[in-house]
Amino acid sequence: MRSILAVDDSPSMRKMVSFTLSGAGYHVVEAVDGMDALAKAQAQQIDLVLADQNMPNLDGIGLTRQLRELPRFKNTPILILTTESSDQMKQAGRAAGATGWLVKPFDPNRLIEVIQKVIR
Amino acid sequence: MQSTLTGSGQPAVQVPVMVAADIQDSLLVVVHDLQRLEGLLGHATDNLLARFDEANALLDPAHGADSSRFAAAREVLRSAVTELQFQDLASQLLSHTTRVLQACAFCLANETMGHEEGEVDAPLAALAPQRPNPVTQSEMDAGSVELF
Repeated sequence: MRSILAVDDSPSMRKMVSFTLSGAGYHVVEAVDGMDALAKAQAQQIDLVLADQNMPNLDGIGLTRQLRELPRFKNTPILILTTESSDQMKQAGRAAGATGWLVKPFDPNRLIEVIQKVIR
Repeated sequence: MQSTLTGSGQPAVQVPVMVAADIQDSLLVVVHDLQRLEGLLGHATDNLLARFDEANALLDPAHGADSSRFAAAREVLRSAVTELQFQDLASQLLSHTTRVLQACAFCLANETMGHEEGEVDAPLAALAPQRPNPVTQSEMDAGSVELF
C-alpha cells in the first residue's frame, strides 16, 4: 500500500484529506506542520507528500526545500495544497522543487486523479 | 485636546483623543467578536466532522453495509468533502481580518495617544499581516490544479 504524508495545521483539512485518500486505498500519515512532517518523513517510507503552504514553524515551500535536500526525497512527488493562488507563490513552490500546486478547496475525485498521475 | 494622525511624517487629520479611543474600542470589540465566531466555527466543525465519521462508519462495507443504496450514500458523503473544507478557509480569513483590525487599533492608539513613560512601542510589525490575504476564494467551487 502506498503511503502519503498529509501535512496541514488544520485538523478539519487533515480529516478531509485522510478520508479521501484512505477511501482510495492509500495509507495516510498525518503531520501538523512542516517540522512534524520532516520528522515523520525521515522515520518511515513515504511515497508522496501533500502539504499545505501556510503553517506555523515550517511552511510548505520550506518543507519542500528541506525534503529535496534529502537523497531519499529527490524524486518523491510533493504537492502543495493551499488557499494561496498567486503566480508568485506558485513560482516559489516550483523553484523549491514542488511537483504541483493545488488550490483549496479540493475536489476528492480530482485529487485522487492527480495523485495517481504523479505517484511512482 | 486634539491629536495628529501622521502617515508619512506630514501633518494629517486632527482626531480628538476621545474619538480615537472610541474607534479603538469598537475595533477591539469587533476583534473579540471575530475570535468568538472562529471559536463557534471550530466547535461546530468538530461536531460536524464527528457526525461525518459516524455516518461513514455506519456505511462501511466491512460492517455489512453493502447495498447499492449504501454505496450511493457513501458517494454523497464523499462529494461533501469539498464543501466541508469551509472551516479552513473561513478560519484563515477570520485570522487575517483580525490581524488587520488589531493593527489598526494599535496604530490609532500609537498615533493619537502616544506612549506613557517607559512604555515600549506597540508591536505593529508583529500584528500587521505580512502580505495580502491568502484567501481569495469567494465560492466553495474546487480550486485549480497545476502540475509543474
